[in-house]
Amino acid sequence: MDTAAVLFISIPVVVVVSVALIRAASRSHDPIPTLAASPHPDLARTSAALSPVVRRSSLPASGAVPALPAPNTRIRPAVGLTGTGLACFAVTWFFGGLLGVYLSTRAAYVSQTGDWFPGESTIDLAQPNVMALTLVMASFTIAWSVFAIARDDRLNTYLSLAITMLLGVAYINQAFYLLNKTGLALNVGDGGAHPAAVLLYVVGVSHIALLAAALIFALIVMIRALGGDYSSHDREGVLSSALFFHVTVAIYMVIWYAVYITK
Amino acid sequence: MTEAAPAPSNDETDDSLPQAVTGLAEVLGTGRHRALGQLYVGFALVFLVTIALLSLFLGIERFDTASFGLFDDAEMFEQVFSLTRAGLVFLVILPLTLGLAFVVLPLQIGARTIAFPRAAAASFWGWLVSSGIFIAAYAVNGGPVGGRSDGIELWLLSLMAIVVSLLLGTISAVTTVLTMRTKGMSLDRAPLFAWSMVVGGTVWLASLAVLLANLLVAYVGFRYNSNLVPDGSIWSQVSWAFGQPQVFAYAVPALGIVASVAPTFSGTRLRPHWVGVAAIGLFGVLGFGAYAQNFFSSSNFQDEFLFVADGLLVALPVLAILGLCIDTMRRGRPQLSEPAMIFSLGGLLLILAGSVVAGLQVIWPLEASLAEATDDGWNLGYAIADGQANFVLLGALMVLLGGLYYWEPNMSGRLLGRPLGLVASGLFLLGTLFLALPDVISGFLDQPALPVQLPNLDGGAEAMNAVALVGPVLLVLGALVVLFDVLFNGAASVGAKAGNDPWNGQTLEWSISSPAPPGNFAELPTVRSETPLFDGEPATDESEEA
Repeated sequence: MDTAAVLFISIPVVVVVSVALIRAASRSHDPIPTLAASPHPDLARTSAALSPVVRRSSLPASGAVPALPAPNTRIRPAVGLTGTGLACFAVTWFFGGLLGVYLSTRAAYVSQTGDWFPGESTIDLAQPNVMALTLVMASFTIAWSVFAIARDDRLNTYLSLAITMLLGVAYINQAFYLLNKTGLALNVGDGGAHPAAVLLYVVGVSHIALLAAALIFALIVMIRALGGDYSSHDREGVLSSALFFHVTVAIYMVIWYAVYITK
Repeated sequence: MTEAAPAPSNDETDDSLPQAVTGLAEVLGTGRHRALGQLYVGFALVFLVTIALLSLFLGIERFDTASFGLFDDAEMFEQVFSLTRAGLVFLVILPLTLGLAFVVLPLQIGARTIAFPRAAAASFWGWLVSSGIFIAAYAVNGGPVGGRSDGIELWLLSLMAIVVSLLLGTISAVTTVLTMRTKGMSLDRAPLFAWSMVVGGTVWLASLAVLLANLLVAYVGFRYNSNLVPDGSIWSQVSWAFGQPQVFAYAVPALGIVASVAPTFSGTRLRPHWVGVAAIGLFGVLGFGAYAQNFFSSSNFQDEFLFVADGLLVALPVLAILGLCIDTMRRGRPQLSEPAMIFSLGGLLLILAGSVVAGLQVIWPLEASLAEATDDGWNLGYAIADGQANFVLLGALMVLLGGLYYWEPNMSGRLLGRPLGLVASGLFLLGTLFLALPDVISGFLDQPALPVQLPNLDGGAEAMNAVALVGPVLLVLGALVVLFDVLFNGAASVGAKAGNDPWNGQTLEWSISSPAPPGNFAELPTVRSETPLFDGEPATDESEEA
C-alpha cells in the first residue's frame, strides 16, 4: 500500500469520526427549563458589574441590554460511553498504524524477493476463518446482552455475557495456536527474526491483548450486573462494553482480510 | 467492673466518619482536577529547565562542528538532540497543556470535576514515572542511537508508556468537554480553549496512537535483531512525530489559549466566534502528521501532494486567529503590558513564522526541502526543518506559559509576578528567535539537521551556529525565571492575592472564587452565549456559601 492510499484512507476517517463525535456530543434531548433571572448577589454578573470598557463595547448606544439567544436545549452523551468511544478511536488508529507498517513492508519485500513468508512458513486459512466466526458469534452474544438489559432481563444478560467471555477465551486459544502453526519464530539466533515474523507477531499479539482488554471490560460489567447494577434506565456500562467489543471484532475483520486472506 | 458508656459524639468530631486525607497521601491519591493539573504543570516546568540546559550544551557543541568539545562523539550529540526534541514534546508541551486543561476545563464549561478523575491521576503518575525511566534510559547509554541494547529497549518502552499515559489524560480532557458542559453550552458556545482541546486531543489520539504502533514494531524488531529495524534507524522511524506537519498538532490548544487571553485583555469579545472555531478545526486537520513517515512509504513522502498542500495551507488558520486577535484589540483597549498577553501574542507570531517556514520547505525551487538533503541515517534534512520545529514548538510553549500566567489565579489564587513575567516573556521571545531563525537561514546554506563532523561546512552556516548559541542561553534564563515565579509567587503563595476575577474575564472560570472551591459550582450555571460573563448573564453560583 503506498502513501497516497494510506492518506486517502486516513484523512477522511479523521474527519468523519471527528464530525461523528461532535454530532454525538450535540445530541438532542429534553428541553432544559429556564432558570429564574435572579443571580447570587455575590458572584453573579450583571452588565453593571462589568468594567466600563466592557459595558461600552457590549451595549448598544441606546443603553438597552441586547436580547440574548435562548439557552441551548441539548444534553451531552454519557461520560462512560464517550470515553469508551474515544478509546476505540485511538485503538483503531493504533491498528491502522500497525497494518500500514505491515502492508507497506510486505509490498516492498514481495517486490524485492517475490515471497513474504520465509521457507516453508505459511498461514493456513481454516484457522483464521474459524477465529472470525468465533468473534462474529461473540459480537452477537454481546449485542444480546444489550438487548436483554434494555428489557430488564437480567438472566439473559448474565448468560449472554458469560457466553461472550467463553467465545473470547476460545478466540485467544485459537490465536495462539495459529501463531504457533505458522512456523515463524522471533528468537532465531544470530540471523535475526524475519520481518514477516516480527510484524505477524506484533499484529497478532496486539489483537490478542486488545481482546483480553475487551473481555476484562465485559467481566467487570458482568460482576457489576450480578451486584445489581444496570437496568433498562441505566445500561451505559453494558453499552460501553459492547461498543469496545464490537470495535475489537471489526479490527480483527480487517486483520483477517489484510493479513490472512491476502497474505 | 462497669464499662462506661461512650460519650455522645458531636457530629463534627465523630471518629467513625471518614477523615480527610492530608499530606503526602492526599497528593499521591488525589483525583481532584486542580491538584492533578498543578502537578502536571509543576513537573513540566522542571523538565523545561532541564531541556533548555541540554539545548544550551547542543548549541555550544555546534559552535565548532569540526571537533567535539563537550560530547565524546557524534552519537552522543545525536542522543542529546533526540532527548531535547522528544523531551520538549512529551515532557514539557503536552504535559503542560494537559495540566492547564485539567485545571481550567471543568471551570470553563461549568462542571464540578473532570471526567474519569482516576484515569487522569493514572495519566499523571504514569507519565511522571515513565519520564523518569525515559531519562534514565539515556543515562545508561540507551536512547535511539545508544550503545547498550537494554538501554535502547528501555528507551522504547518508556516512550511507549509516556505516550499511553498522555493519551489517557487526553481522553479524560476531551470527554470532559464533550459530555460535561453546563446547560446551554453547546459545542459552538464552548470557550475556544475547550474547543481547541477537543480538536487537538482528537488529533493526538489518532497520531500518537500511530506513533505507539511504530514504537512497538521498533521495539520487537530491535529486540529480536530483525533487519526491519537496522542499527541506528530507530530515530528516523519515529522522527515524523517531531517534524512537519505533526508539530502543528501539538500547537492546536495554543490557538485556543490565545483566543481566550486576547479578548479578556482587550475588554471586548472575539468575533465572529465561528471563525475561531473553524480556524482551530482546520489547524487540527492540517496538523495530523502520521502519514508523513518512512514506514508507510516506499517513495519519499515529501513528494506527496498532501504534504505539499499541507505545508502551503497551514499558515491560513494561524493567520485567521491572528486577524481575530488584531480585530479584537482594535475594537477594545488592549493591555499589552500583561505577561499573559505578551506570551500569547508572541507565541502566536512564532507559530505563524513556523507555518510560513513550513510553506518555504515545500516550495521546490527554493531547494530547502527535506528530500534534497543528505539522508544517511541521522542527517535527515536541512537545518531549516529544525528551525521550523523550534518556531512552532517554542511558540506553542510560549502561549502555554501565557495561559499559565492567565489562569494561575484558578490554580493557587495568587497572581504571578508581572515584572518577572515581562522579563521571562522577553527572554523566551528573543531566545526562540535567536535559536530558530539562524537554523532557517543556514538551512538555505545546506547545513544538515545535525551538523557534526562536517569540517567543510560553509562559513556562513558556522556564523549562524554562533548566533544560534545566544538562543538557548536566553531560553535557560527564561525557564528559570518562570519556574521561580511559579514556585515563589504561586506555589509558596507569596504573590498578591488574585481575588475572584482579576482580569474581568468573560468565561465561567471567572464566575467563582479563585482558586475554585471543592466541587467548583454549588449550582451549575446556565449560559446563553460563548462569553456569558461579558454578556452579563445570570450565572448562578453559590460556591462560596458551599
